[in-house]
Amino acid sequence: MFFHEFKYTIKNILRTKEEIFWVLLFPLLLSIMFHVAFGNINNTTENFHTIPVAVCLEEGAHSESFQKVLDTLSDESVEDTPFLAITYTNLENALTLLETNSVRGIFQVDDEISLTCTPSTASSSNATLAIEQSILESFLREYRTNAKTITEIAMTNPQKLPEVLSLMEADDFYGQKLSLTDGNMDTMVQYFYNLLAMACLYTSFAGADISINNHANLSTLAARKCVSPRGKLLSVIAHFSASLLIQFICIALNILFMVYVLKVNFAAPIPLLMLTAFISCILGISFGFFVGSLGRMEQGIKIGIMVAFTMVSSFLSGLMVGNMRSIVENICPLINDINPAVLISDSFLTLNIYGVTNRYTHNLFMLLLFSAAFLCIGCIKIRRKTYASL
Amino acid sequence: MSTPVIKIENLVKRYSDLVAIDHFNLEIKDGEIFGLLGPNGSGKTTTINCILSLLSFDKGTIEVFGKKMHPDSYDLKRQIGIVMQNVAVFDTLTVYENIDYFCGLYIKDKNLRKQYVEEAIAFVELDQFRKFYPKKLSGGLLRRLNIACGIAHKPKLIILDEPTVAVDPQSRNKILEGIVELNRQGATIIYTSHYMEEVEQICTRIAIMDSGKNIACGTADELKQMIKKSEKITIEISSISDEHMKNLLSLPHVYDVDYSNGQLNVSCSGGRHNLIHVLEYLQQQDLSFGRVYSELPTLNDVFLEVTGKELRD
Repeated sequence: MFFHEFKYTIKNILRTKEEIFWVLLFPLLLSIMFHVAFGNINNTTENFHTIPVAVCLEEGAHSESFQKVLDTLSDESVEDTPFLAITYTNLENALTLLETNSVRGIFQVDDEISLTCTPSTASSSNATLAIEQSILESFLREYRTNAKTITEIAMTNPQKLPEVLSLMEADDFYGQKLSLTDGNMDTMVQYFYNLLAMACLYTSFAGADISINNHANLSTLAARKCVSPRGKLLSVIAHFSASLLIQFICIALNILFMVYVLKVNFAAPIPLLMLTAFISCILGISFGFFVGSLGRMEQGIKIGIMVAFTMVSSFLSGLMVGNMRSIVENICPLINDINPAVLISDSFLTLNIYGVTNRYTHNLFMLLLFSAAFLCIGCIKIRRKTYASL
Repeated sequence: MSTPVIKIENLVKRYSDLVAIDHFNLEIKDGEIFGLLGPNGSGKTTTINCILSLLSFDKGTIEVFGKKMHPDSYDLKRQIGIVMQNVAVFDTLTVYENIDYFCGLYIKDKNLRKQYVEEAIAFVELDQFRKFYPKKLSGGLLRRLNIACGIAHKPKLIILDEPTVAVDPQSRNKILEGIVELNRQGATIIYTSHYMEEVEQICTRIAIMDSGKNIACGTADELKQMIKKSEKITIEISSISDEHMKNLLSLPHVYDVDYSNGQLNVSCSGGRHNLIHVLEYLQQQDLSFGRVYSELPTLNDVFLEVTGKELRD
């Protein structure tokens, strides 16, 4: 029964031109457009270099500790190419430096630490800006997490503090960044990550079909299936597996096309790129399954919801405006934490810049967590067997 | 006495304030072609969906093959074939693939399934269209595909919900012949329609539904005998006085006379020579007339008399 359903779902998807277009051809065409518009991105590939930042220190809880961290990371005696080049100044001067592009960001430090970055453009002269801003954001986020962890342990379990500190040193986030000079620092590659994220989210169309074809009150086809003696769960699993296989192949073809035809340097092993794409497809299909199971609204409305969600989350991740992610990070970081397009594109970015790190595994974990949530809700809604109306 | 294939007792189904099925009772025996006749909105499809456990209901019991029907009654579902009112096939699969897909939901054995699919294709005469996609089929052929998908697994009970809607007369006849053939092969058929001619043509027993109620049940003859009218005589006549109409009404077995649009309508109950009596009277009175028709009562007359409205309302 499983293979019967699996086989016909594959046939169905392969013959549904719209689904193949949005997941395979549309990203493919966009990637060609990006390639043409941005030129040969390999020519602009740069190695990592020191990031100039301005720091405005005020009296506060974080001032001293953060300054020590900054000093360490900008110490030329420790590394030939230090992570940061710091200019301590007041806010007014810092803003002037930012406007003249002399620094990439401003850290304002008092009781809280904030990061201000200049809006970047997609021009090749600002090629590394978005990546550098992303690195500064990651650095700040990591610092905040570690500071919070240390504070909590110091308050609740002080005897464990030395052990935790040595563990943190072993997993030296900042050290890793400095050593990762093989990554592609070209900001244009970020557009391809966002494009892949969007394509992965478009797999939601296939996910919606799973719900619509198994809910008797959503389609006559589903009603006909529901009166047959086959278990609904088995059908859903078969449908999901077949959808995942086809959608993943489409995304994989996109990646291979970008890598081997457009010569985009993702600076990461292909298997890891594929793993990221695979998990992202799981998220996309699960999301579609969830939306498809949302009540009896028309199919067009559900498709509208999925398109809107994909476009908004892709926009916020920087598909249309390069530094949108930085803007969101400054206004409401939580959005970046839960935006699937950001999680997907950031996974690719992390692979590029840092390799497999905690941040990468955390992103994948979040994607799987969201997938599980969408699947659970969808399954709860779809398990119903009799309906009040059809 | 053998177990009824379907037994419905006191079924009530409400949609908010609307009572769609109102204390409905029904018993269908093995080997019948049972017709559910009623106008649109009378509750035929709702009843079918309740039988199939697709719809929840408020009250009553439904038994299929002597067992209570539940959504998980897979052993019962295996014996049921459904042909939905709306065509339910995949646009992306060919005729053969569609039938194979739906047959595969019931039949696991590949070889047996292949044989059944071939038989279904031959049965609905779609052999030359087996590689066609549904979009390339005409309305009639599409309906035949819809039927093939529902019957390919050789079910004991076949439910056909208005299978001839929007079908040309030729395809309609083929479908009706096919249904009779399926019954001859041993399947019990439930056939819902609002076309009384079809129901009368193929059904061995009929239940007439209106507003969710079973208002009459029996064979076509039994239903017709339930009503007063046994013959309706229509005569084309240019004019007729009230006095003549009164005299016609006094003839034996005549219970209603009316004149409209140049037609004299005489309704009779019982009697075997009503037409002769009426024509004799008209000749005696030197009343010239044109064409004359004599009709036996139809199911529409039954419906009209029981509910006070036309079946096609």
